[in-house]
Amino acid sequence: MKVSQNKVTGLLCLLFSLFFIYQAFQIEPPPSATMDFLGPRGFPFIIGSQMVLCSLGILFLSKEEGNEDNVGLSELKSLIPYLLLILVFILLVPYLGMFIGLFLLTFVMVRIMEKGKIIQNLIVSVCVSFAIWIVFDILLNLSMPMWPSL
Amino acid sequence: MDILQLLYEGFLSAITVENIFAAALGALLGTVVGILPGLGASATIAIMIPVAFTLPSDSGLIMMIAVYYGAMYGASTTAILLKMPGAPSTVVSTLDGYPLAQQGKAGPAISITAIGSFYGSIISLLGVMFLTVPLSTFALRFGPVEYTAVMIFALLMAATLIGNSVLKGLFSIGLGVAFSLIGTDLQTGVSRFTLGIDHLLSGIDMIVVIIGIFGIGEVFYYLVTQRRGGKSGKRLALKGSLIPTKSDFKESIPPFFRGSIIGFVSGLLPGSGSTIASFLSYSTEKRLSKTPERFGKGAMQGLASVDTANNASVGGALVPMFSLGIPGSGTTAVLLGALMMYGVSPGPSFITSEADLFWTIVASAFIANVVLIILNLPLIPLFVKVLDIPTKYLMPIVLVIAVTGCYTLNGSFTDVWLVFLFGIIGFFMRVGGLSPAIFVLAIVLGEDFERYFRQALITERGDFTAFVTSPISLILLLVAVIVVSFDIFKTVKQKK
Repeated sequence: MKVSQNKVTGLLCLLFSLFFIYQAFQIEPPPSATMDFLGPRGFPFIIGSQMVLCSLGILFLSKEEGNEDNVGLSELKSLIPYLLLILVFILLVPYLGMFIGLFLLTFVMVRIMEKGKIIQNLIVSVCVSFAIWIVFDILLNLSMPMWPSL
Repeated sequence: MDILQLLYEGFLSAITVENIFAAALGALLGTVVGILPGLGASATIAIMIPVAFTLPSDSGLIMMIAVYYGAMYGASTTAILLKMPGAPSTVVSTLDGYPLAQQGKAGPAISITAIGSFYGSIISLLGVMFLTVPLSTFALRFGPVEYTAVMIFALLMAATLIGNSVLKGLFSIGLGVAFSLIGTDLQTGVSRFTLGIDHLLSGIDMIVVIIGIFGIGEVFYYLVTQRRGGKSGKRLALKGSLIPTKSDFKESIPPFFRGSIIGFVSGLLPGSGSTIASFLSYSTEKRLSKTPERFGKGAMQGLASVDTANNASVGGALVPMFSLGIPGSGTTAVLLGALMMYGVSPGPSFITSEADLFWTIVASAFIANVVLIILNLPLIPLFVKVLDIPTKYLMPIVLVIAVTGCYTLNGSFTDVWLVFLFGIIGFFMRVGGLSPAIFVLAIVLGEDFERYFRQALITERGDFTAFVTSPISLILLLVAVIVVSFDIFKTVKQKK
């Protein structure tokens, strides 16, 4: 069975909207009485309700139209290695430092995109890290953990 | 004080070595990135924000405006040589640009777009000068009720004008406003939607959202779709003279005039932006032409009208941003976010409280355009070389710059987590047909929207009818509701 794009989008939007309304319920009332008619919860409820209505509209009213930005499941799966790479990068970069972290991120990413030309890819990756170090750390003098923390 | 006198003083402040360097650097970087397919003006500005923050506020803002104009200039080059629009607004440029390049007229075509862009920008900047002050003065009468109505009007109009589905546009508004509510409620001190994460108590850094949605989201989208092959044509060489012929000029001058007006007026409408401006301008020229059959086969006037309107819309979008604090497009929402990070809040009092900064920005926009036309024409062959960089290197480079820039904002790895999270959100929004541009517009306006809404109800003692008893509010809300209802009605009818 083919699931339409609007149904998936609408369902995800609806889930998010309901989660948002649930979170709005969790907001504590202000500690003392104020002139504020809506309070901290009122506006989020209005926005949450508006999102629920729109989600239902997307689910049941929207006509299925070709969205050229849509991607297939196989294309979507191709994002997984990149996401894993980024996850590893974020976890390791505080220890490896930006220079090595960004070098590895660039190198592995280029390798995932296209195999071959390992030396060329290595050189480009080193140059990218080097350029970031020169521009951000040396020229712009922005404090960055460029090197491994021991 | 006389507007020309104020502009003269703006020029005096803008003409410093640092500012001209910032304008030139922004113009160059904007053009180069604009030429690259896939990265539009919003993404370019987003990536450049952390670099701009290292400069004094005026130089930083000048650089970002120059990047904006540069990206608009550069985007059409890809459309002409590759038949691949560098940005959505240059989709129409491919219609006549690529056939002109096939006929060996790529050089004159790129030059005409550069001249048209320059003309459109200058005319629209004159509009900024003469319209911002009266609109700001008028808006000084606005109270919280009127402001709430302006916010609703701007967001709803954006939902109907950007993207294909009004319902998805409306959801994008809600989503953006929802994210803007994360953090401590400034009126009561209560924390909201922080999920117990301390870092979120001060809210989400708008720039992190912008870099994530436009920068990282675009990279993810490219990574996923890179094997599709694209709809681009064979890359055509830039051979021969760059100088347009007399007949090219003769053909292009009327579209320059009309395109600049159409572009500026389109830019004024919240959400319409450069894409609608370019389509409107092109269809107008086609309708007025004695030889409409040439359109789509290499009509210079078609190309001239598109790029003039594109750039003129930039100035149009700046008017509501400076005078009302309402960005006219996704890109101006990014600019507004950057302005706020500098502690500058555009709105009716901006023109009086930050008069020096406003006129310096206007003067710098003139300078940026002059720099662009001077640099662009002789450097076009060099800029085109950018297209030779393999995208397998380009996308990791964009990602690395975005991540590094994001880290430097607050020196926090939490922001790096967040920027990737927003990258994923931006990617899925695009895939699902939601609008990242409206989302950013809403996240930028969300906090003010809630504040004005609550203030309005406090001053009116909880009386909702205040929104229809104020004439300004009533008109704005009526227009917005009619437009949105019409679109929803159309959606329901199509479904049946």
